[in-house]
This record gives sequence, C-alpha cells and structure tokens, in this order.
Amino acid sequence: MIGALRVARVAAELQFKEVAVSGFLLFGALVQPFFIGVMTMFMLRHRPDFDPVYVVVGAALSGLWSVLLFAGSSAISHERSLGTLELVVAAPASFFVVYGGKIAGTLAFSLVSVLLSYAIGAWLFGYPITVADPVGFAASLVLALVALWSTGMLFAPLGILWRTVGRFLGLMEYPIYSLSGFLFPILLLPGWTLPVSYLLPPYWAALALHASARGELDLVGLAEVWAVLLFTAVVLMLVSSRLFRAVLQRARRAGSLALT
Amino acid sequence: MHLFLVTADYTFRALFHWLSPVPYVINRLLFPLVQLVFFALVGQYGGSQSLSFYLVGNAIGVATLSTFGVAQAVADERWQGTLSYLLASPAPRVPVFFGRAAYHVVDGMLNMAAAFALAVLVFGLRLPLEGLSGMVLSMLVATVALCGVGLLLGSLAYIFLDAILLANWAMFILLLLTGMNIPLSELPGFAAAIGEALPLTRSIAAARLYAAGAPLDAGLGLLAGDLAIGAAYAVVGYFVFGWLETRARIQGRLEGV
Repeated sequence: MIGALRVARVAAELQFKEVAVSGFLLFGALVQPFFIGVMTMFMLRHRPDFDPVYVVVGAALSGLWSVLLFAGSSAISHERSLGTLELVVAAPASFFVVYGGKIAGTLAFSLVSVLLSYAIGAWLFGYPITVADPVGFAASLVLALVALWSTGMLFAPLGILWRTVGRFLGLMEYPIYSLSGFLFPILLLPGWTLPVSYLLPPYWAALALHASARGELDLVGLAEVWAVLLFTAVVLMLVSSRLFRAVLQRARRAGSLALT
Repeated sequence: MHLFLVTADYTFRALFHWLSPVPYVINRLLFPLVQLVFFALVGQYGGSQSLSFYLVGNAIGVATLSTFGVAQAVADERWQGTLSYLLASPAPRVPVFFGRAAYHVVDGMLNMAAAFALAVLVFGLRLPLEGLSGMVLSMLVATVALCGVGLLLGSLAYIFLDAILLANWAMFILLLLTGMNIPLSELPGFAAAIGEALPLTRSIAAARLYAAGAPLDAGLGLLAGDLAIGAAYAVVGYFVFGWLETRARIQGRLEGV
C-alpha cells in the first residue's frame, strides 16, 4: 500500500511538472475558465436570484474538468509518442496506480482555476464572494476532486484502446458541464438525461459545492450528497479498474500496445 | 485556378488531419453542437435575452471553428516538413495562400446548417421563410470573414509554434465580444469597441434580424461591413505570410521560429 502510494506520488509530481509547462493546458487552466467565468457572469447576472458565488463555483468546476479531461486523455497518447508506454505498462508497479497518480497531479495543477474564478467574481466584477458554510464547502471541494478524479479514470483506458481518443474525449467537455449542472440546473435538460446526471459523480460534486456555498443544505443534507458522491465515485473507480485490466490484457495479447 | 483547387483540396484533407471521416464528424459537427447546447441553456437560465437570441448567435458562432482549420492548415506545413518545399516552389503565392481557406468556407456553412437544424428540431427555433435567404447570406459572410482571421493566425503560426493555441484564444475572444452571448451594449466600452472590430459581430446581428423576419436588404449593410473586416484580416495575413517568408530566407531559418 505504501509502495503504491509512493508510485502514485511520483507519477503525480511528474505529471504536475509536465502540465505546468504545457501552453495548451495553461490555457485550459487559466484562460478558458476566465472566459467562461466572465461570460456566464454577464449571462446570469440579470436573474432576480443571482448569486455570483454560483458562477464562481461553476466556472471553477468547468476549469477543473477541462484540464483534467485534456491532460488525462492525452497522458497515454503522450507516453505512446515518447515511446515510454510499453515501459510503464511492463513495470511491476500497477498501471492503474501510475495513471491514478497522473490524474491526481493534473487535478492539483488545475486547482489554480478555482482561485482564478474567485478573482473574476471578487476583483473583476467587484461582487462580495462569501461562502455560507466554509467547512462544508472545503469538505465538498475535497470530495469534488475525488469525483472528478474517478470520472477522469473511467475515460483513461480508452486511450489504450483507441489512438484518437483525445478527439472523442474532447467532446465530453461541454456535456459534462451541462449534465453535471455546473452553471445551470439540470432540470433545464430533457427528462431522459436526468438519470445520466445522477450517475455522474461531478453532478453530486456540483450539488454539494453550490449548496454549501449558498448555505442551502444543513449538515445532514450535505452528508447525504457526499455519501452519494462517494458511492458513484467508488463505482466508477471499480469499473475503470476492471476496464484498465481488460484493455491492457487485450493489447498485450494482440501485441498492439503501441499501435492501437 | 488549378493550383488554387489543388491547394484547397490537399490542405483541407491532409493538413486538417481527417483522412478518415470520423475525426471530421467529431471535430466539425459534434463539438460545435454541444457548445451551442451549453451556451443556449446557460442563456435560457439567465433569462436576460430570448432563447432565440442565444440559438441564432451560437449557431452562427459555430463558424469560429473555421479559424482552427485554416490556421492549422498553414501552420502544419512546418510540422510535416513540407514548408521548405512549398516556399522553394515557383508557385504564385496568392492561390497557395488563399486556397487554404476555400473548402473551409463550404465546411463552415455545413456546420452552421447542422447547428441551425439542431436549434430548430431540439429547441424549436422558428426561422421565417422570408428571412431564409438573408440567413444563408449571413452564414456565408460569417464563415468567409472568419476564414480571414484563420489565414492571419496561420501566418502568425510561422513565428508562434502553437497555431491551435492562437485559434483557441481567437475562439474565446469571439465568443465573448461579438455579441454571440452577450449584447455589446452590456459590455464595457473598450470591450464593445474591440467587438466592433471583429468579424462575426455584424453577421450575428444580421442573422438575428433575418430570424425575426426582416427583409433581405435590412441586413446587407451589416454583412458588407463584416465582409470588409474579414477581407482586411485575410489581406493582412497574406502580407504577414510574405514578410515572414522573406525574413526566413534572408536569415536562413525557414523551419525556425
């Protein structure tokens, strides 16, 4: 267990260093949330019940998800282009743990978008940004990272199976914003999409963050949301763990790890 | 003309990375549609404008994707090692340069048609028949004008390594400042002034007029303005391209930055 954590930490550190100097990911972490935050602030501020904290939280979540999606989906293809994918897979350390560390490193880097979103609301627009339940919000933020991590892990094995996975996963950026209710309630979506939202950990993360920021739920209500978030995150993690194993075995049998 | 057509064909298929149709469908059709749905729903939730304001703005705004294709087509010559062959060839530069945008105009129209189909079928957008010809004209002008921006960005990509990053900047600036999602009157003065100097601003305004049933001549002035701005971007791009080519030859660093 300690060995696995050490591997994950090293992978996270390496990934952090890589994404921190990537122009494209810096754009995703800094520039894109800026534009999304400013645009949605303008678009939502005429609502009678407008709360700038809602936009700050939503824009921060969108930044976290975009960086995670692009860095996570390109991590395997990046290893492949460097010629190191076979070495990582053949190493005695679990590939799931290595990749989990990479996703964690990406998430740590993308936290900068949370600060940026706060700055947009507080400094650019001059709104008072106050969190009604700071303790609940802090706990929700930690659990939101778990939720996003598990969702990113679900998409990752597809990078081994499918060389052009980045193109497909890039498509998941706005649908996750929408299905998870980052910047508008999911009730605006067609009814048939609601079960999909309920299965997504980021939806519960957004619910917990929005509710704790606005003080809409007491501790019991918040704990219920956290419990569902953790349940869906664990389910996705188990699915992704099996998917990793199955996809790697398939690639090994076919001798197509670097070619698929 | 032959050179123009050959350049148009090869740069669209090979330099735009879609020798097979699946990446094309994903990049050019599905991505703009999910973006349109997101901004339309945020706008609907905000409630300051009608839903049709956001649907028409974002359906025309799908043309911003044209800037990616055109910019990438110019910049990828360097990545694929064909830049030196291209610049050493005696081919006249005008068809080589402007040919890169030709197919993207048609492609942009297709993407916008798909976006409007989605807006009509899913969100119930109503487009009056009397405004239809004006709407098609707005789509054409929007995509031509944005190809001008793409050509300028592609030229700049000879000195900036990452053309896609430049195109991403352009896309978000266009999303914010052209009135696609926020009326220009709500933006601070300096931001609205920048918006007025960007292509797409007038095409979107004209498209909204036509979506409300205005006759064709109601938006022609706006469209002429956007066409002129788009042409200005393309011409500046052409001269930047020529200047960088000359500079690279003199300094002997064709593949450098």
